[in-house]
Amino acid sequence: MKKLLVCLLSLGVCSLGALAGVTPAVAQQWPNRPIRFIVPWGAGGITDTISRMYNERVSAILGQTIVHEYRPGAAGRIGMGELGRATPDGYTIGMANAGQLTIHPNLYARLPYDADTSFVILGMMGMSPMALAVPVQSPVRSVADLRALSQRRSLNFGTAGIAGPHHLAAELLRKTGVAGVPIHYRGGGGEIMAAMLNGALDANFDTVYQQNIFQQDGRYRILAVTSRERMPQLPDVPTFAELGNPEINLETFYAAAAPSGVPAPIIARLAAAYAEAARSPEIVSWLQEMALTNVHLTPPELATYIRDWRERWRLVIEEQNIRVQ
Amino acid sequence: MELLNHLALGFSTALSMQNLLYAFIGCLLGTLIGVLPGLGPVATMSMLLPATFTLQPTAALIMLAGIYYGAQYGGSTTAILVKLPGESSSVVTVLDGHEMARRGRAGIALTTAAVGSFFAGTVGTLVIAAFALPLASVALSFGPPEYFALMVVGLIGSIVLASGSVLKAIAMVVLGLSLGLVGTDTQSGVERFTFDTEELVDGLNFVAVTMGVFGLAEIIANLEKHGSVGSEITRVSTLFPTREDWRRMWPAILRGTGIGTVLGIFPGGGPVISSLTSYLVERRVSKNPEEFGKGAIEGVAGPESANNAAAQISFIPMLTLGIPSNIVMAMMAGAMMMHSIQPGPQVMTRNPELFWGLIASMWIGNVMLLVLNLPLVGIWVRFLTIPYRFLYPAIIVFCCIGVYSVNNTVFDIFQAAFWGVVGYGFLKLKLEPAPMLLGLILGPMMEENFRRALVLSRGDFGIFVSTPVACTFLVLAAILLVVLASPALRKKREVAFREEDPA
Repeated sequence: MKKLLVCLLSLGVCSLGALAGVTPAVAQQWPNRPIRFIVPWGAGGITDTISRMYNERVSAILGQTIVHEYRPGAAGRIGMGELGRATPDGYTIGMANAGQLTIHPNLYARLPYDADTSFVILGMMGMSPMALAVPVQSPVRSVADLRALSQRRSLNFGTAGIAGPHHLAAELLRKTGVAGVPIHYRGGGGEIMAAMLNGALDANFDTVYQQNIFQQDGRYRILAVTSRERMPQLPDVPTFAELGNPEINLETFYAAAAPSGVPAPIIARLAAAYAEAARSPEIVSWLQEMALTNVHLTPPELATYIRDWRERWRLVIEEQNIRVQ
Repeated sequence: MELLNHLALGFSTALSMQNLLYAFIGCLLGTLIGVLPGLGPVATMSMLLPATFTLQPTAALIMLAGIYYGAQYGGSTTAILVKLPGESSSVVTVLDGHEMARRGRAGIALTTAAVGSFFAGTVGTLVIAAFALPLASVALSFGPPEYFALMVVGLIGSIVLASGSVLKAIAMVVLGLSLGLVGTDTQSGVERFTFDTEELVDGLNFVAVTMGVFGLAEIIANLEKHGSVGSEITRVSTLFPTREDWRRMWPAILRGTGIGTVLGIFPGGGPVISSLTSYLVERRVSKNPEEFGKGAIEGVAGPESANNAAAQISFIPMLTLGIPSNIVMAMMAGAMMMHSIQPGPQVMTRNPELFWGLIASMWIGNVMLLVLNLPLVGIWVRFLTIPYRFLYPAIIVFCCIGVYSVNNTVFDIFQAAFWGVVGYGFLKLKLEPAPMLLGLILGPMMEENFRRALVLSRGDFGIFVSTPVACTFLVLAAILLVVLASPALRKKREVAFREEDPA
């Protein structure tokens, strides 16, 4: 009995010692086991694909496996909440998007995370500008034509859900005198395309990649893009800035994030790994194929970027009185 | 002639040793996960997706497709043997398939499902090869009023389909519709009946509800009757259908295939709606409707052919338009994107060997599945002889894994447990859960299209009768209602179901 007690005590002392020395040692040894990467969406689709493209490289850089975990639901808020609550030891990281960080805080009083304080954004994986398109059978050739049409009759805009980027882009457009009623399609791009072609919808915003697929096969005509510069895939399509509406510039984004509280040296290594992957030639050419752009910003710069966007969306959402609750 | 050239190209691609091997691996994996209750193709495909990184894109897609239709085959096995629909599209297979098993005809039911699926798969492949483009344009022409009218037909149909009291069936459909209201409203974004629970924002988890009311409830009910479970279903007479069985099953397979082919091109629940419609049709045309719900072979042959044809046809929107019609198709599109292939119409012209190879491999996969499954029937049937005290904990574990793997959340397991208890209550009250599940699937789609149609028409209800297709569906729905209410049919129903329900 005594022996057992001594054993337990010495074990306790040992583990206390281990705990005391934990912080520097862990940061040095990190990563010595697989890292979890939470994708707040279902498997398949662009969020899954872009995560896998990056993490294959990041995993090689860090010399450790990265395991993807899908936590879909509530437009990414469930997975985001899970990431915010995860132990900040650098072994759980994940994806963050424009919706959860810049739009939802303006819509929902209660979120399972704090968009300002719960996360450190490690790096931007890709940004997706949007394009305004009309069905190919439409007589509309330009944004000016669309404005003229909207003065004659009430237009229908297809969106993939209320207060999503498709919808907010349409609301921004309203400020330039092109007014339309948003019609929401849970199924997104494909359902909207069917409705565009059978004449139910007059126009829609979607990612440049998606719109370009439908333009190439002769279904859509793209009128303008929301990127800062013209897209290399669409050299003839003007940006809204060129058309005199510089306020219509927007992009959704895919970023890598960690819960706040992860030791700074680990954050630095993760941020460096994502930055290195973002500059690799395979990623650069793949992003271009997918009509995605990217900026190379440090974690503090990214925090500012996200705060600015959140403020911008707050103004749009308040001005247009968009409510979900 | 062009078609023959294309098919020749396809077969020469698909018959290469490497592609045959991947087709086989896919089919085998698919069958296995289909047999394990709950563990669906989505979880399996997402685990295997990284492995396909290093493969040729054609081989990768062939393997992933094999998993998908393999699971469709396997899903019916659990539906028949343990009354647990492996896939939502096997829900109606449970009704007669499991009854056949209870009467010692499990082997025949499994063979029927395999033969029906094979035939439907073959037709589906041919249809994709020959008519993919024109069919895709039909799907495009459906707008909100057409979808709404189609859903109305589906819901009224599900009442006709239900056995027993009409009143109870209507009550269950309405219950399903109300449950479908849980979650975010698409047009306004308002969250309804979520009780501030993020997990309910996207509505109830359909798989959890299905597993609960069918799987778990059945287990509770079985455990109630000591000892007697299992013994009544171990009398396995023959594995192979008799001449009489063949005669009855062929017309059902033909009709089921036709229904699945037509309804499969529509996004959202193609296979589910097809199998339910097929069941409804079989019962209506049958000379012995009283046998339905008690082990009618048509009730297995028709729906199983229909869901397989629809599953195959659901490749059309993805391959020709780049629109995935369900999660599995979204994963296939994702696999293409990783290999820098844009899913869409250009696939057919830019990567013809991939497009036609995939189509040819579907048929080869169906042959493999038939060859794989017929000998397995004998083995699966032995499952019935496993003492229930060993079987049920295993079923519960697999149910939990399957439910968890849909959204990777423990909340859904609690949901399934809750619905298990509710389902037990349904059994006690002799309420049929199938109409409720249909209400739960179709309700949200119907509401979405109803609201959307009215927003488009700025509130004018005339939009619902503005197109011939919508009118036709609504007239069909009205006829179904009249049939349902007619005294002659009510009498026939009462006679048909009296023996079953002596209480």
